[in-house]
Amino acid sequence: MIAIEDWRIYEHPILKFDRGKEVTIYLDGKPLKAYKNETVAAALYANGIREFSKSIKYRRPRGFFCAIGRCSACMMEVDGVPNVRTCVTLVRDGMRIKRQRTIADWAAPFLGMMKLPPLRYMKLFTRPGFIYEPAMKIMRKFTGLGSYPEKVPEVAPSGGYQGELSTEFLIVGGGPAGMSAAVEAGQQGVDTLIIDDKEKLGGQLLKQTHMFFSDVKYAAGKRGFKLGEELVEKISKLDNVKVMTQTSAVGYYPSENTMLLKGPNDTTLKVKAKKYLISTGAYERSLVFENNDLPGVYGAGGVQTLLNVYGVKPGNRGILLGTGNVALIVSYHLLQAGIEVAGVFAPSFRRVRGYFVHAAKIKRHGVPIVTRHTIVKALGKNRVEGAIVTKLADYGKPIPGTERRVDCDFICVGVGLNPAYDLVQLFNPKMVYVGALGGMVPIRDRTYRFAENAYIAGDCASIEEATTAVLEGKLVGLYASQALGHGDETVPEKIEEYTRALEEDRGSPFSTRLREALRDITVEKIEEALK
Amino acid sequence: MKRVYRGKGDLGVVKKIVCRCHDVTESDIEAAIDAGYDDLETLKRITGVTTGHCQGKTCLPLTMAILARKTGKNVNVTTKIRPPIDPITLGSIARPPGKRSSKR
Repeated sequence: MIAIEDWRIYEHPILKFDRGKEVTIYLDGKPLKAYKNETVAAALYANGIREFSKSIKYRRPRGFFCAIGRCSACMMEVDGVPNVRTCVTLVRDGMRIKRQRTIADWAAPFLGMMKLPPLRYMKLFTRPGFIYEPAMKIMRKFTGLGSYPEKVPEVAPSGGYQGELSTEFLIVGGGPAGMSAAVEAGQQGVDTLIIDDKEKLGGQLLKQTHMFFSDVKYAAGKRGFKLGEELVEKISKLDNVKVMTQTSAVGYYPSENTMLLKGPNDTTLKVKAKKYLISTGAYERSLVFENNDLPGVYGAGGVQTLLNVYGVKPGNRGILLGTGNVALIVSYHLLQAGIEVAGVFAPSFRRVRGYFVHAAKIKRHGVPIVTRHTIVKALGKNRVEGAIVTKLADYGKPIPGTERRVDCDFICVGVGLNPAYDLVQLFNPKMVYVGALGGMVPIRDRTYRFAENAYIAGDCASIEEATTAVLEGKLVGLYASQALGHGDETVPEKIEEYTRALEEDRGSPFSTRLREALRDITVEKIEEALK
Repeated sequence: MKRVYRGKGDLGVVKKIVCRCHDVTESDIEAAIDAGYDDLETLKRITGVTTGHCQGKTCLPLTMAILARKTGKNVNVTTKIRPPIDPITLGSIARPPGKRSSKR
């Protein structure tokens, strides 16, 4: 029997969802309706399934959190292969999906009742030595994620190592910054390769249905996904820019100047480039509160993906946590899709930090923006049924006695972003923690170089918005083509123009802290700073 | 002297999860810091935080914040990053079937 529950959005004021043809997938043997262009997680979610896995130690229910393959909450057994990230795996007709169960699922509540620590096989029965091996076999059953398949599952054989490639300019991350850099470098005749881990380029731009409004000349007056499509089209017209999607960087080896990439169908390849651009964007920040791992607590990006890429409703009534533009924009996206927003709870004082325009827009729709509040607890057993929020005194301490319950069926955490620090660090840069820029960022010089052969642009350089990412990307594209010995006489002119636009963009009095922070971490010569 | 940390930070019902991959809670980390593991590298080794499937993409900033709050120190380092930063299968780095290395 096909489940009747359907959380898909069929009418949206701005977006049209291309779902492809209908297929059937099986969850623990039960048939479910799915569409070809959906990921497994989105398809399950659309069928009303909230619990995807159990956590490793306490066996707590987990749904997905990030929806972009960054966390581990959505791992399931797909076609006999354990621990597959279902939020980035596309469905296939007749796909068999299983929840990963172990004996620990029923053992954990008893252990919890007896106040015993969850079983950790690495610490128990280590002495005397001879009992470790047999004890380990038993203990393994009580913990962990999936189990080994009994026989080798019949999956497409792994593609294996695909050899080496060389290019002049390798761009990691096909968001606004990476795509703009590819366009500029491509126009100057640089042999460019741009990679992205999704099925298509665009990054977070594809999920933005609102209009940008900063600089008219570059991005304003366009909806985010339109801007993304335009950049993709420009790239496709350039012959010397190669695009590899579903490809992510897994490592960089400075001694060999080689980057290892992971491609689709379980393949890897090496790329040697003269210059690299890291525009990997940012990771979502999380919050620590009670039951913050319940299915129904999502990152803002996860909600945007579900809503604007797959057209699936995350719930019927939600609350937003956070004070920045992310929280405000996501609540607007929810309203567009016809989902009730019970409130935006911001920990900041007096007013929200996001743009006034966005705040006014959602206020007009009757959504209360409650400042000086934070969440203390998510309610519910297997999925979110409500939240307890509390008022904050000065210095961010909660005031006892001000707790109140808000009814909602999902909680969206939009407390901001952290620059993606991992790939950057493989280049051995000098990292510093800068609060105004969002987290750990490398020091860089005026041409956005943070290592001898690598540039940085976009959110992983400093958490800002799409317009600045576009401008930074354009600048890096030009600087890199200059450094590679390409580029005509218009390049200095363009660099000057974009630099001025960037300064204007950051010129508002609200960006003072950002400007100062950027000035502090920008050095004259990167080689000298790294010594 | 470092006291022994037995991983018994959080046995109660209240669970504030910091690391989703390895189910490390806020009080686990606080207990470990109290036991003397007060820098990121040792904290990572004793609690398992940042060593899960996601390689610290959510929990590292949270751990840094707890560490800074508990110790009052300015936490200005992340854990050491090593490739692969995204999980890959062993099959994918092996040569494709049928192709043999010339140096055998």
